[in-house]
Amino acid sequence: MLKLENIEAGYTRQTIVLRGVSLEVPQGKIVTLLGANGAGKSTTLKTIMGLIDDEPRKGSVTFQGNTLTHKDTESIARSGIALVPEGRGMFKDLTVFENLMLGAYHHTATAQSTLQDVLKRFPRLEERKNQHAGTLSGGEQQMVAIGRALMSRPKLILLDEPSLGLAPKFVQEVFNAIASINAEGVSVMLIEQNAKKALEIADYAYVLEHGRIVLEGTGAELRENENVKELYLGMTHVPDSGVGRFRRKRRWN
Amino acid sequence: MSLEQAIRLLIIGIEVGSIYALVALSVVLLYRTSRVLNFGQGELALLACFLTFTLTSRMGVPLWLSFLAGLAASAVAAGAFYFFLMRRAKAQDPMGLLILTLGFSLFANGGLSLLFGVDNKQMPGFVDVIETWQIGNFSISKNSVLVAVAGLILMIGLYFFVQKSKIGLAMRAVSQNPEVAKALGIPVNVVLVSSWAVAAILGSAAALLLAPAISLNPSLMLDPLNKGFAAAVVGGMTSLPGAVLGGYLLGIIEAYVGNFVPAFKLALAFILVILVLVFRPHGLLGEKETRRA
Ligand SMILES: Nc1ncnc2c1ncn2[C@@H]1O[C@H](COP(=O)(O)OP(=O)(O)OP(=O)(O)O)[C@@H](O)[C@H]1O
Ligand SMILES: [Mg+2]
Repeated sequence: MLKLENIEAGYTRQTIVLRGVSLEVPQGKIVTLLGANGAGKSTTLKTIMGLIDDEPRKGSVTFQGNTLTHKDTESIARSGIALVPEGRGMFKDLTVFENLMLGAYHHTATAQSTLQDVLKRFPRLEERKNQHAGTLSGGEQQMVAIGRALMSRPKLILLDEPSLGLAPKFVQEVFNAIASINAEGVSVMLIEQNAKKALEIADYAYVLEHGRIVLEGTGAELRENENVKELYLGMTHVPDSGVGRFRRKRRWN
Repeated sequence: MSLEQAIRLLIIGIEVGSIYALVALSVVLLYRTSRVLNFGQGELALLACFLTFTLTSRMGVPLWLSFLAGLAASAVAAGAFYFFLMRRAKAQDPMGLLILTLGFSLFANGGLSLLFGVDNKQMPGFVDVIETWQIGNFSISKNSVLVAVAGLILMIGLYFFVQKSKIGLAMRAVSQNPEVAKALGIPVNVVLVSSWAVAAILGSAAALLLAPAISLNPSLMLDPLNKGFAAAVVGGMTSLPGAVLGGYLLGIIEAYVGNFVPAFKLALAFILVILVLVFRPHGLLGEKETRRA
């Protein structure tokens, strides 16, 4: 459904962040992208959405057979891809209702019925409909961010670290929501710090290091991989034949 | 000071204040959506005035129609200026863009002077500027009332546009977080063109309301523009209600102070600005910190 081929991208001409990334999100699946801080995960999503001017400098992005490379963000969004940005991207001074409606900017006809669906999925947003988004808790903001993305009735949803900074109860709620959105037929690309949970729900996973995909496989395969266990799942066994590029940077959980 | 005189000065203050408030609103609206100050605002307003003047005084087109044509022309010119120049400018930093609007202002002022002349023209108005209403032995200028009421209607209109319309909502979203707005598929360019156009309409309406009481020439907007910028700073640059408050406050204070110490009138706006910048840099109703990280 979504296919990235040899993507090279960065923010300035002199620097490169993605050094030839290829990956695929099949229809109806959950694909997760893991990687240390600064590996280029968010940059990958921004490149897909066409948010960085004149990027990618090499490679192509195709979605349902159509090329998205160098199209403007508006038409990429309209083709059925929605982004839940890193840090939730709230319009803080706008109400929850206004935030949600902005997600349906090009879908006026279906906005009301989609809104009802979203409020049914996240009932606590109903009570807070007229509250400024900036005054919500982190977990509630994440629900607004996901709900807002759903307002455009996307075929593919890109989530950038949706569980970051949330209490365990909310983390579980977010993962449940992702699973149920996917069960309704929406394909998912998930970036997560919580590798354990991400690998549990993902059909397929990629590991990104320094702008390159260094490992890929099904969720189950990666859960059993020694490097992943050590670096991303925080298990203590140290393999002596570790891949050189893998560096211990940070442990999750 | 007699009560009568106090009321008369208050009315003048409100009249002038509405002009300042409209200009300040145009400054703030643009600043919020595109983080830029437009020095060309005055020339856009002049375009509206000259066109209105030419249509109605030279060609006999009804005033209200000329008025609308003037507003439309400045809206289109502003939208086009943004779309074809500002948006494509290689120097996208605030200073580069500021210089671009300054260049546009100088260029447009020259062009308008060449086209329409630098002589003083008598701009027609909806009411005769010397006519008054008598209430007992108290007389009140019809033009003052017209300006104040028209200003108020425009501000209410702007409120509904920004708060209740879809494009107004999109404007607020873009002003808070342009990248997220873009990622949601909101047509950021349409939003920005619209905010340039609406800002031009506000500034032009101020000029069209002001011109009949003084004379129309290429430096018509110099003073009101300075005062409008000052009012915007006093109100807090990012706050639309702040712009209205700053405009009225400046107009009213100016009316009273100018009455007693006329020499002081010119400096007043800038004294207010300095006071605000020293004691309350975010303005009366502005946000304390910048929202954009
Ligand atoms: N707007 C930007 N301008 C310039 N460089 C940037 C910008 N955003 C990110 N970078 C750089 O690109 C590299 C990859 O950043 P990116 O945000 O994609 O990492 P990430 O994998 O999402 O990390 P994290 O887990 O911390 O979110 C980093 O070196 C970062 O400094
Ligand atoms: Mg990131």
